[in-house]
Amino acid sequence: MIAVSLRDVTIRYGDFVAVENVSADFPAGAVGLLGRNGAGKTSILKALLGLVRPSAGTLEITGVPTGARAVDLRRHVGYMPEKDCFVPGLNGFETVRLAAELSGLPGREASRRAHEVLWLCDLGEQRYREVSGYSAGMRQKVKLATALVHDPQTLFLDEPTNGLDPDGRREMLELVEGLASSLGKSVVLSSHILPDVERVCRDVVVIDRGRVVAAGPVAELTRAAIRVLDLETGPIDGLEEALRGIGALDVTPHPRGGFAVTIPESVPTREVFRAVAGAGGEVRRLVERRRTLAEVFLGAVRAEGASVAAEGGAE
Amino acid sequence: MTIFGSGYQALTYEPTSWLRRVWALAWLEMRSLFRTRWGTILFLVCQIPLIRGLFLLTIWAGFWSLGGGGGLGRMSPEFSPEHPAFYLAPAMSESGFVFVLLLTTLVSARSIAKDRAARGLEILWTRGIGPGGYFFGKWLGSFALVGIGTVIGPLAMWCFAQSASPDESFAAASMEWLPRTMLATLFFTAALTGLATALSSMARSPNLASILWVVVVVGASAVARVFSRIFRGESWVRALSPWDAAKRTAEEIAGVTPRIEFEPSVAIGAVLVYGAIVVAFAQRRLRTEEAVG
Repeated sequence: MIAVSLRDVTIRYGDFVAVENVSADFPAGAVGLLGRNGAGKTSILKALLGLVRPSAGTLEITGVPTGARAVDLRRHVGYMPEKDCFVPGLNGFETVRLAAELSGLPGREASRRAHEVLWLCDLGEQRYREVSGYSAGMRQKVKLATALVHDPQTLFLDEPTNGLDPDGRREMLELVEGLASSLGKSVVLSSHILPDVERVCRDVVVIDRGRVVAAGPVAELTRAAIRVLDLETGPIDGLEEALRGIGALDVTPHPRGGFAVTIPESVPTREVFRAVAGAGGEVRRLVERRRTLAEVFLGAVRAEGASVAAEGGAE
Repeated sequence: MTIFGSGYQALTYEPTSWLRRVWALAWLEMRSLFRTRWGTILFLVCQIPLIRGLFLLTIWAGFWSLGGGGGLGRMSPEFSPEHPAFYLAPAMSESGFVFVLLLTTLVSARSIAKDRAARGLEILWTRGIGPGGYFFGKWLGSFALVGIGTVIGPLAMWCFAQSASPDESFAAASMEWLPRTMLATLFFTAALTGLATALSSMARSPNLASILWVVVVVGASAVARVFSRIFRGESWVRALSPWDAAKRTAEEIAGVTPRIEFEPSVAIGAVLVYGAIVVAFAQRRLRTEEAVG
């Protein structure tokens, strides 16, 4: 089932093109929306919420176009913004209750639900303190409570672990994971913290320079016909060239020495040994592993960068 | 913070109407001044014209013997509960001006600007109300708060006068002008809070919005007074002040003798023009793109 769908979406702010001709499907469950800062993630979320009007294309949430009845649609959508945004002067409970009432919950139900969600988000003890006095982590939690209070089917979480300490981050990720896996919510998790996404999300959509550069299940993307070898050798001149000579896609030096060598599945490991020997060295350690999401992301972003540069050169 | 055993439950509810959702915002706005002790004190200070009216009412009712209640009307129609000007005074008298200006500056003029400054618009507009509902809720809240002193209070004073009156003559006489008087003060309060709320949507910070509102009201009144001396006989220049234009229109609705004599059609036209200008600017500033950057 497709929870969120984008078709040929372009978003412009004046002359600046934030998102260009993006088409992507976000299946139900937890989906990561990845990209560097300024890649266009927040613009896509805001367009889905009807806060930004796309200059072209269509966006749908559970099959309903977002433009026509945006206010009705928002009853089924929860949004946790990246930046702090609160109604001044309110305490945590009032903030969440107001969000519930504005989403259409009757007064008494809104109050009951606000208490419940604040306890869920670990703010039960602090709920009568003014939000302006909250720590960064508590503000993140109250934003999540605000997004959850009306029990939406689809949640858009923009950088939810920003400003959280390690415990808070773990708890937040557990909660997001539980929302998708136990309660069947569709969660779009926008983040540039790749380990968070890799831990929680089953699928990802990677955006760079306003375009989709990779999309699909995390397991497939990391298992794609590419291997990563963690290679340790003695100091050798010209090793990188030798490895590229056998078809290595990427040779990245490790900070502690050695290289992460990305090679296609078709290149046998013995070729690496030959390349090292050919360069006059010897292999001290070689470990084959799957690509991490970070490596998938970087590979896709570099490929996109090269493609843009080539397009620029051609022009 | 895990959801297991936390009691998280799926919700089943019939969504409330648009008006109920907007009222949630209006109710919040209405209480905004009472969140701090100083806000409550300032609200009470702004009720001085109403308190003065209640005091005069007790004299008129004979609770005090300061020369008898009958003499009040001879001093000024504003002092007599038997005259519509008495009920318009908390909003539209010279002394009422200061307090209504203070209250609208503290509430209406800051209402939207404070949310914009705290980026609250982003969280409010991703709920079940759009910018139009948001504006309406903000205006309704500040209108209701200001209206306590300018509409509800005078109506309560009339009820008190009615109950203190020895016979039916007061009720019979006052029913001829009371509906128009209440309509007039209702219009005046709605127009001023509407203008202030719309101006609030244009400013980046609540303090700037407050200053802008005071400058518009006091500045335009001053300009109108200066121009009325230069253009002697040209009554329309008084309509340069939104306050005077709204007041003259309200006086026309109430059917009382105007304090500033100029054509009511000019005043009504000026109110409509000011309304159209600020609504156009507010619409532009309350586009979703403007609010979320």
